Amino acid sequence: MLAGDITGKMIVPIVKQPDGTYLSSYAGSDIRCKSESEVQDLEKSIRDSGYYPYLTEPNEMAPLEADKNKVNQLFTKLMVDTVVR
Amino acid sequence: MRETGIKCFVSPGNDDKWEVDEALNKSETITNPEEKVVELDQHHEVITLGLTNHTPWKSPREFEETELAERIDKMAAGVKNMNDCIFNLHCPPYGTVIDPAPKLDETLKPVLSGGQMVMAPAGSTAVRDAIKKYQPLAGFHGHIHESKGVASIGRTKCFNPGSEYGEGILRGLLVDLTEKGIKSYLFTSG
Repeated sequence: MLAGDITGKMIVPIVKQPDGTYLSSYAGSDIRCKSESEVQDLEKSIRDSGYYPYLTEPNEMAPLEADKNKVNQLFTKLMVDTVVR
Repeated sequence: MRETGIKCFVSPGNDDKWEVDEALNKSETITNPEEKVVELDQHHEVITLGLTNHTPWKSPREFEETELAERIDKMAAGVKNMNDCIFNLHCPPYGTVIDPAPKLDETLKPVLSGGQMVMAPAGSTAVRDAIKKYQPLAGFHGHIHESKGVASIGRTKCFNPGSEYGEGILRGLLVDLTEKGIKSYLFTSG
């Protein structure tokens, strides 16, 4: 029996940079990933802490930062996707 | 999992948005037992409620105690053998060793005294009263991460394994159920 509070607490964006690296602000630090395997390790660490990693790009971040509804919609999608997975 | 034949129940808690239910209910592998009486085996039934009383966090599934009591009563009415029933109620019973949570100030920061966090009961009176009234075999609870433990209410053993999700640790509870009751139990962490 897995009972209760199965939803992650927040979204942690991992943003692809123009130079091909990925930048994320997580656990009080700015983390830069220089390879796909580093990104995968970071995603696992974020998931293991009860959060949702979200790979994205700067042009998607701006609309999200400006609209709480969009963030809520994204959160619900990540929550449902994770439960189904 | 599907091939093993092992029953797996996954149910929401107060922190889970309502969209979670739809995702759980679509599964062909797990069962969402929320607000139902389900048979664990030929001797034991389980009733489940993920809703809680009100919290400072305004989570999606918070209700008045009277509403919780009504929903528990409705399920209890469908239990065939209460002596061997398990109450899988997310919120622990109020005023027990498994419900103290950090007391918060108006800015939602923990209240400190002498350098220590002040704790206060945060469980449900409806859950406590239902367990007193129906005296099931066991209560399986969660919700209050800081208060792992076992409480006795009459003949009913109530368990809370606590939570360390933020550390990437899944806490659990193994209970060996027999026709005669609870043979043994073990808290797990890993």
